[in-house]
Amino acid sequence: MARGDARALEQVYERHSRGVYSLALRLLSDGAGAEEVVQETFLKLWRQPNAYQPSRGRLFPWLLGVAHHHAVDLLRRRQLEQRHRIALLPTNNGAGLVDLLESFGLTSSEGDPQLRVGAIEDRLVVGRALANLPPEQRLPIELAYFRGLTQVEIAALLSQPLGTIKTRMRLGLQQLRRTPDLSQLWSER
Amino acid sequence: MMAESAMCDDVIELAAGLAFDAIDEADRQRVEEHAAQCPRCAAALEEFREVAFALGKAVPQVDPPPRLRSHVLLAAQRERPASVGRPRRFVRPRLRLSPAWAVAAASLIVSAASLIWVGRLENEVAQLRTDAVAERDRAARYDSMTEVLGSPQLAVRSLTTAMQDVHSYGTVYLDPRSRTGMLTARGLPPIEVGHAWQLWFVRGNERVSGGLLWPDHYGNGYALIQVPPDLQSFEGIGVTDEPGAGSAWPTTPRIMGARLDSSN
Repeated sequence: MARGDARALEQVYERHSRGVYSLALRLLSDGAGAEEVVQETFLKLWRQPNAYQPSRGRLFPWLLGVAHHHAVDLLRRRQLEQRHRIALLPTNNGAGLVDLLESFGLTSSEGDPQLRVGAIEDRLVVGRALANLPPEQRLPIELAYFRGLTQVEIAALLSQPLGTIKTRMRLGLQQLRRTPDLSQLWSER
Repeated sequence: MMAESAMCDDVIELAAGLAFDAIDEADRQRVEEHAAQCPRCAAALEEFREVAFALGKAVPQVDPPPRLRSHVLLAAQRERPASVGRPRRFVRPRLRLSPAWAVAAASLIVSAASLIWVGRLENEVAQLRTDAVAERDRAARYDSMTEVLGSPQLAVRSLTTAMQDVHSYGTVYLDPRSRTGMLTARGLPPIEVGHAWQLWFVRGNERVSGGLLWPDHYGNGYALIQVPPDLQSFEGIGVTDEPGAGSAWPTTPRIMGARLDSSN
């Protein structure tokens, strides 16, 4: 890629575009936006091949990271227009958290006939791991990753101190990291 | 000045946000600069990024539109990677007509024709590769369905129409052991483009989504679904028309359903 080999880009696209597109589509719920994210992600690799350092890990996680960043940028631009709607959502007791999860469409139980079996297994693993988190840890994680909210926005949304949200997110991630099945997801190709 | 351990604690809290793109640019820079000097914080950041990758990898997988591939490759062709290209500036081409140019032009035309031919071949190979992947995936889905259908704990329920003048019917296969199942449906009425049929597990006033089904043009289809862990506590199943991304709660009347607390 660093030598400007278009075929290398093509191979990377063949291999990873599905994963990148799927993540963008999951975040944006919008095909056109997801396509924009895919294009920006692969063009970033093309324009700045040295931005990816193989010594720091595999390419696919890096691409997903770039795609997530682009998708969140796009999502935030849209959320600026919708902020008043978010402010009307219920807040912070236990039942409220569950309602809020549902109202954001953050159920980890929806299926998809286009799922590959491997992806189904991945989703089951991730869904179970998330389900095992206390709602107060799970919610900030899902709002941040899947809805593109910042920690500051999550704190405001849940009427919690920013420090509390940071700590809950960190604790939740540390618990997810310790989930054995989940650790296989990033160790496998 | 903040003590080193307090600084690390602060950075690790922020690192969780960085891995999820949930902090602002100033904090991002602070974490990255600190992590570049601090192995402990760098390791924590890496772990959080691994969790983020696991979440991102496990989303529903959807094929991008085929045209997107050529869009991306064409856009790349218009640019060159920064590491190989000199800063781009506009240079007006000078045209000189000479025999040498004619030869060069002819060879360029031949080269271009060869490139087009190679490009076509590559497209064909890519298409074959895509087909092979699709076939492999289809086989994998059949394996998964076979696993569901072969479960010793398999529960089978017939879905019957819940509306007059609608003749849809279907079957759900539920495997509480693997917490997966399958929904088959026939004769579903047309729905809006971008919509799907969503399956719900019903327990009192609670509705738990089991998955989405996109029917074919004839209103038939099947979908792999997720079964809630406490299946025995649910009394029924319903299917409703919802936006393609799925709803958190049914937004339309049930079109077909089944009871779970009877043997049917």
